Amino acid sequence: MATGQGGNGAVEFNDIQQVAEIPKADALVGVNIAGRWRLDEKFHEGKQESGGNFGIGYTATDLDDGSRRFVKVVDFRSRMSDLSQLRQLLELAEFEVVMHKACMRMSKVVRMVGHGQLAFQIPTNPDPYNYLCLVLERGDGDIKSHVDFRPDRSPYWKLWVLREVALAIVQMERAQLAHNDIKPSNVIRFPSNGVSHNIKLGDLGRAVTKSGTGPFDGYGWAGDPRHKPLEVLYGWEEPEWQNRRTAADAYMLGNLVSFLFSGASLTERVTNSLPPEYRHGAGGFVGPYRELLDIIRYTRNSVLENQVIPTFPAELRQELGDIVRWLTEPDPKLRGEPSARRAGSVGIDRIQSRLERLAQRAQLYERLSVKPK
Amino acid sequence: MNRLLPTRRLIPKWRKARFSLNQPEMLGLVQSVKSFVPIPTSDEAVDIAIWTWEQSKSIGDLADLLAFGMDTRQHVRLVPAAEAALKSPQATSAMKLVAQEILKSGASEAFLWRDSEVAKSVRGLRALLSNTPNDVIALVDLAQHHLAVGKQRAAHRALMVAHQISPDSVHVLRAVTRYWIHVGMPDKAHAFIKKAPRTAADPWLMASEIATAQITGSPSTQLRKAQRALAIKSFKSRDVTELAGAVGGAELYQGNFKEARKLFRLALEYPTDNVLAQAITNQDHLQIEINDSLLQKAPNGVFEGRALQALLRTDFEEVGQLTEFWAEEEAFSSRPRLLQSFVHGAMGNYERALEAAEAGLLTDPKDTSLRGNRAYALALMKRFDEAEAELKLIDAQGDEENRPLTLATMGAVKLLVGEHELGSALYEDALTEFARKKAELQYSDCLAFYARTAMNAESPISSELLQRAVDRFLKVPSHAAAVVLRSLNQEAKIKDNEPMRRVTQWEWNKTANTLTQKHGLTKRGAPAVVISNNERNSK
Repeated sequence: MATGQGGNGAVEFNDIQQVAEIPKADALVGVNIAGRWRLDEKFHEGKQESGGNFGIGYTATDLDDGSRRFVKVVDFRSRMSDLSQLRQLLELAEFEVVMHKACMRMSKVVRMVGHGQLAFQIPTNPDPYNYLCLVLERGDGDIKSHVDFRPDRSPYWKLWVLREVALAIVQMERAQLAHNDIKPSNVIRFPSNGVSHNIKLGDLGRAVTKSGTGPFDGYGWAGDPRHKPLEVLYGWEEPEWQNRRTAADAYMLGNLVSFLFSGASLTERVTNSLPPEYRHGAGGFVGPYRELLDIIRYTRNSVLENQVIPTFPAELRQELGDIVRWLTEPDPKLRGEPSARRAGSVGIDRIQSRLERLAQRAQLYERLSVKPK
Repeated sequence: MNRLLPTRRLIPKWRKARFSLNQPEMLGLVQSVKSFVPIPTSDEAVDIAIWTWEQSKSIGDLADLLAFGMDTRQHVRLVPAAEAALKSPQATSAMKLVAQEILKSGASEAFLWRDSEVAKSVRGLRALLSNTPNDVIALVDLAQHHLAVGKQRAAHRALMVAHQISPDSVHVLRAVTRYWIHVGMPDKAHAFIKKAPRTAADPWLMASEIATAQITGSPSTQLRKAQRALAIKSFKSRDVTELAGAVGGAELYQGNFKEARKLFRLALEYPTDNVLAQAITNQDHLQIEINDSLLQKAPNGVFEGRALQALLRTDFEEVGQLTEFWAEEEAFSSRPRLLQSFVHGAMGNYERALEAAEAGLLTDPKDTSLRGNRAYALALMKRFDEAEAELKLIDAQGDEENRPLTLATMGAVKLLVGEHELGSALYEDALTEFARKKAELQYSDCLAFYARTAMNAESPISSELLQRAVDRFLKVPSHAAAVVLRSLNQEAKIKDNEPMRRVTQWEWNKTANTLTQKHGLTKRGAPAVVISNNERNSK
């Protein structure tokens, strides 16, 4: 077994284990990886906390400190028969590792604690069968299981979640990355640090780099269509990276605001509020998105004003309403905090500050149990 | 009583967004983007979301699952989740709305566009705009609301902001053009539409330019180009509806009936209510039958076209209802109110005639025809002072066209106050004027109204007048006279129209038992279905 790089960085390992029979990728419960992580339980295919869309997820225990981990096992050997599939899988896995490395110092992105090869060798075959493993921090589940839409519930937690996600976007933006798959299931709760809730953004499998080296950089869009920015639904691509990618993260943050308070995805609401001939997809609108922008904007405005913003707490409605309007502006060139936009950036950092202020205010109201006049 | 509508041109319609939405001119010519293939939601992702919700039963997982409702293909699988959302006390109203859509397979469109109270009031639109001032659709709707109550400057301001935000929007360009025409500045309208960069490339704007040029009497910059485009079929049939109608209108104006007829046939392939109303208005010259199936082919509404058709059927009751919808659609236009006040006056619904005339005057206070209708309604409601004041206002305009109408309404006032001789004299003067102008139909109308007013006023010559009106009707029948005479228990039948040409005909092949729709103008009075030539030959 070979391991390397400790401290703040991820452990890199190459663990070869002698076995009588090669275990399948979905039957690794009980296996110790690199003598450090014990695989405890397999996740259901659908419940891959921060794990992304390929590979098999396991809960694990770090034997060094007893902390919980999430391990993703990728069986690329099973794809040997199809070279293009194999290449794609390897590329995706390697990209995720690279992306996690790039995000290693980001406090609000789920951290990779280790990665490497887990190989099994049987006595009759000297050629080991290897799996690629990613060991990630494990939280307490995504925000969906924790959210409560009842209006009498404190908005503080929701606002703090939004603040944390905004901070994650800012951290990624500084590293010239964009997440591009921000949705409730990728926002993970972590144990509180004692002062505030600790939220991190998971699943970097769809992230893109400004340098254009990732597997998804060349594509128009990957990720969940329910949370896609409106322009992406219609195949519209802004030429400038910031307007295409950071603005998309901004939209998805806005969509998350809508989800946390109204329980609805704005993308879904806008789509279903359009007459069929203006919807995307088969039998719908086939022209350029810009032609439809006025109709989309009116629809989005009506949805926001009638269905989403009324669910915001009355004392924060105006400010939070402005934030969600800026973030979900249908024109990606105009999306973001207005004064930052005038200065040439999307301004998620400013939005993060505003969200933090709103959260603190909500907490204050809560503590004082006094509503403002 | 007043004459009917002023001359109709194929100028752009300016409807509120909820009425325009399904109309092809909303976006104008849209070039399709071929390279883009949208990615649908994956069945696997839905499986995962269903599994997650079933395990946790949390409201957050339920909300996440319901978001798949954006894909109608998934609705069947989302039914249990939708039912759970409707029952859950924790579900928000937005979630319940999504759930209802899933169960009914989609209805939000109506909720937002058609039934929304926001778009129906200035207050609602202002509230929307105060948060998002770049909402072009709301600005254009707001402008129409302003114009409907005569606030021209406010309407202008809203339209100019909309134009600045969305300078290429066909919806905005057509609305601004229509605005200038409405405020009596067709030259500005023409200059505006002529200058718009998109006009040269978009058939919906080319049509507006041609129609506007006709109003101003100036040469159209797009007419020849449009003729060429129609001849070589540069655009799809669906996009040339109004263009063919506008060029057809220009041909009609030149007296080229045959060419105009061909162009209107093309226009009626994918009809809009604007083209239908124009075809009905010019039916005498075009001789094209506008039947129900043609009206049904047009996108929703067609209130103007249907109102005009009901008028030709002498179904004034229906005209009254349809003009109400038409007025809602084009709240700033006085035309629907003019027709509405006229038909209600003819039917003897004076209060409703007065309401319609007053609503119309809000949008266009200078419209003397509406004032005439108002004066008539007031007179018949025995509010003589107000009626006389209104007539004085009309008289002060010094418009010779209005003179016989003013005389007739004044006659009604005098008859009803008991000055029978003076009233009759005024009515007779009005009739003389109509005769001098050779306004045959209006003569018949006027005589019928005269007879009814005389009966209301218990004039000694009322029976004699009624007989005159009936005799006149038999000689020169008119729709309004028919309605008035029927209200006096007279049998007044309008002869059916002469047979006209059809724009499509069904051809039945008896051997193959197939029915094929053939496009092309038929001869006058051609049947709706014919047996195919082959069959006839074989016989």
